[in-house]
Amino acid sequence: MAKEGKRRVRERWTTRLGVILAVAGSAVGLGNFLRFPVQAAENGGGAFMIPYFFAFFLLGIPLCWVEWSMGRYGGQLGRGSAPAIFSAFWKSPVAKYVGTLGVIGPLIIFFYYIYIESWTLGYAVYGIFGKYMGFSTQGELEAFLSQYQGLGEAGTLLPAYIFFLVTFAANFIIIYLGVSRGIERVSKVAMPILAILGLILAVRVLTLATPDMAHPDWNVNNGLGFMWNPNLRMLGNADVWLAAAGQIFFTMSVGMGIILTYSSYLRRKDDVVLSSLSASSANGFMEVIIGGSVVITAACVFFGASETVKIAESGAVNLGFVTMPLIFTKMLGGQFFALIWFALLFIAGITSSISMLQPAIAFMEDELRFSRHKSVGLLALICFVMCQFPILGLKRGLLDDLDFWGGTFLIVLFGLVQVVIFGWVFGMGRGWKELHTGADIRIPRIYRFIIKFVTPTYIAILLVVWFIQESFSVITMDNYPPQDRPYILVLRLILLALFGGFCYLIHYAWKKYPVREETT
Amino acid sequence: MTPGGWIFLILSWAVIIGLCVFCFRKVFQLQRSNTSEPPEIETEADVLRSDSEGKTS
Repeated sequence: MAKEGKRRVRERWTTRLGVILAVAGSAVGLGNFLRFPVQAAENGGGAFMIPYFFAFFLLGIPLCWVEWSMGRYGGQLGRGSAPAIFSAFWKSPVAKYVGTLGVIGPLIIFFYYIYIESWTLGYAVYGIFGKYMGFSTQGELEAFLSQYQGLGEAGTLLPAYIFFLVTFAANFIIIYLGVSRGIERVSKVAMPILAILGLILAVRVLTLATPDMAHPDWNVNNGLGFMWNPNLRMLGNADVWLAAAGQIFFTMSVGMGIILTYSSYLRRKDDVVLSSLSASSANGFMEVIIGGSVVITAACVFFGASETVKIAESGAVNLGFVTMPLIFTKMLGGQFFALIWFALLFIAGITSSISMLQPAIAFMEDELRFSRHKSVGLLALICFVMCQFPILGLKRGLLDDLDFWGGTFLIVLFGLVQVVIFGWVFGMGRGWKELHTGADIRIPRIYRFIIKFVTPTYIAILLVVWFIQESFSVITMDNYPPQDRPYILVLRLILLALFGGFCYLIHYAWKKYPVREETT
Repeated sequence: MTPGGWIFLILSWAVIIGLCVFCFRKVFQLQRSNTSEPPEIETEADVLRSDSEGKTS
């Protein structure tokens, strides 16, 4: 391993399929199987797919191309994190500080995401031993989940904490192994397994017979109808369009800084256009086809449409950890399918969570010239401390607050900054040329216009609407009970301090290593 | 499931499956045609050379 302070040989992806699967693995996560069906069912059913595809083609795909292209460009300068990549595209001393969002954003998501990911591991292991197979009502499963989370009176956090430690260790071992030996190898094995598990579950759900003859309308046909029958009147509601755009941001891993870092390990002449589109299509497959077939359809078959409305309203966590286990208790071979379901979620989770760590690792290795050993050790320490907030403060809403800042607000803001830097500061002419370097397919020319005008306007509208509708209540913490607000405030101050700490590290790195090569 | 539901389901699935088939067919075709080329391996010497070229230019 190269010594600290010296420029090291940057790792590279070994195969094209490897990088596609790694990016797809980053994008395919819990949101594909739990968040998407809830969003679709609540926002017009089949009609939701109209704003969804609008957002997919006008936000998701252009942003992916921009991120892939900017990342590869940064990689040629030996830089793989947003601060340095932004500096290369935007010759302003401010650029590197703005880029901090691309390092800290994915970390904020990691702080809570890994805890939920560890629940999937816990429930998979519990499924093997049939720990929740004896329950027969929603209430019993809800109590079981509360107990697992240490929230119930008789609950203890110990088992959940052990599963958290195992998941945490697994993530950092993969990251320690590096880009090609760790992330790429895991993605190449995990993604095909994920697709097979997803298909098995989808086939099982779509071939379910009517379980209760007293309710013949509780069947697969009506379950699919609940999910897909279009309510076109909902298209007049701006919230539906916002929900679709938010889903695209969340599911495609855009605006997080992850793709920037991943694509920085490409070679100069490696294609980004086709690879980016391939990863996006794989994510779409897992979301629309698998995610759209399994959860809501199964809930309708076993509980009927009116109960499914309540289930969908209870949120994605309830759907995954209460409703689905209950369905498995009623299903033939349920224990086996419960294991498949939670293994699917765990694999989807781990391929996403490792990607959230890599921007910070790249920052430490490329900018601070830390060794991998030191980078991984320091990041593990920061993450371990920060993960305690959602674990111990789950009841206080700390997990929800982290989810808002990391998984909703920052990704939209960072996406806007990124597309403006690419289309306006760097310039569309140069950007277009950069995109097509080594490209295996050409992007339709209309996307020059879309990247420059449509995508930034679309995102700006999202932010303005959010600002008008929600910013006040978010800032004043109106959506939390008064007794929880001090905890939320402390968490926000710590996140601000973390942001300040990273800004200082950037300042330090630029001062210590002032010579930065540029290829522009 | 209404006919409208079927239309939306089939169209959505067709768009996603079509995109997947188009992309991955192309990726595998290109991968096969590239397998005869020797793999590109970047050594430390390459990086040092590109560094020194960058500094002199």
